Amino acid sequence: MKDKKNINIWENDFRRNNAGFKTPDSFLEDFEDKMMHAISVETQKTSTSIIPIRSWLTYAVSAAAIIVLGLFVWTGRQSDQSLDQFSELDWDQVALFDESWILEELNLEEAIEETYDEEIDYLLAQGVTNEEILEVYQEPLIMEE
Amino acid sequence: MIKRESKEPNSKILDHNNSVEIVKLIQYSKTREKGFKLLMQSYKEALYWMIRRMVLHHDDAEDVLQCSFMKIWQNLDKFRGDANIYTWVYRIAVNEALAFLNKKKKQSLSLNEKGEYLSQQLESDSYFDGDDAQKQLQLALKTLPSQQRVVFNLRYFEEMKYQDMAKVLDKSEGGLKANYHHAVKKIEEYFKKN
Repeated sequence: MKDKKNINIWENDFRRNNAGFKTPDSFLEDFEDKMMHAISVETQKTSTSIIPIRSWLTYAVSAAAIIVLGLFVWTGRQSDQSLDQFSELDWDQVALFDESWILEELNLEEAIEETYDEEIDYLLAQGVTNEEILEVYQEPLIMEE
Repeated sequence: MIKRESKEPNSKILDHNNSVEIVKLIQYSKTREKGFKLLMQSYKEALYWMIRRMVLHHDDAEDVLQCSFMKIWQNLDKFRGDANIYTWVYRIAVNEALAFLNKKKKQSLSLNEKGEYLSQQLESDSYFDGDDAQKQLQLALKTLPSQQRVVFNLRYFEEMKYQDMAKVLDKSEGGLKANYHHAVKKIEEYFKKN
């Protein structure tokens, strides 16, 4: 039986057949048309339109009325508000909070791992500087575009 | 020792011949749309596969690809003709894929469950029919830090030159060589243990 340590895994051609990944047939065939359609939809969402002045005045008056009404209702409610009125929905939202992702962010899995003297010697022999080796462990995940 | 074929990277699906024409067309607003369509035609497949190898699932890859081209379109007027358009579009796509993975990471399972979950995902994914070795490689890649995984994918699968990779990832060539070397070592260790 072959010693597992001596097997060269790179004798496998992992790249064959797109590394094992398949796709639906012709899924990129009309990609350009789909993208241009998506872009035109996005453009319409962000475009501004000219509002006729009469409509503008109507909107302004309506908005002012809603704000004044809201103020009356809100100031009336303030005196009655208590912890008992904290809705069930709010408690549900608190319960959904999952602290495990915080622990995951703090996890040192991706922190600097121990390096091997032989590896560093090899890299230095290849002309890689000490600064460049250190740079390996600094990983900003999002780059400026 | 990793065997490497002596040919242009992704020669079948990456069309560099249109690069000059694309850059000319996108410089002017009247021809920008035409240039963008030519850009999509030239790079959509290569970008899809690069993204797919990072995010693994076809549906996710398609979403990220669309987001990438949307971002490319929105920033076309900012593209400076002095930069290589090939590295510019790759940079945007890599950023989008990493952002997607970051978002998924926060939603994912605990660390103990991840390996088994991914293994089951690959088994049940109708768009993955790789052999055991290819599946093992994907599991090994999942254990790498994002930076090393990106570097490995770009070097091993895309056969991207370090010079181009340095522009895509905004890193030094030496640092990228070190990253790749680390990635290879860790993958080999993973295979030994598993």
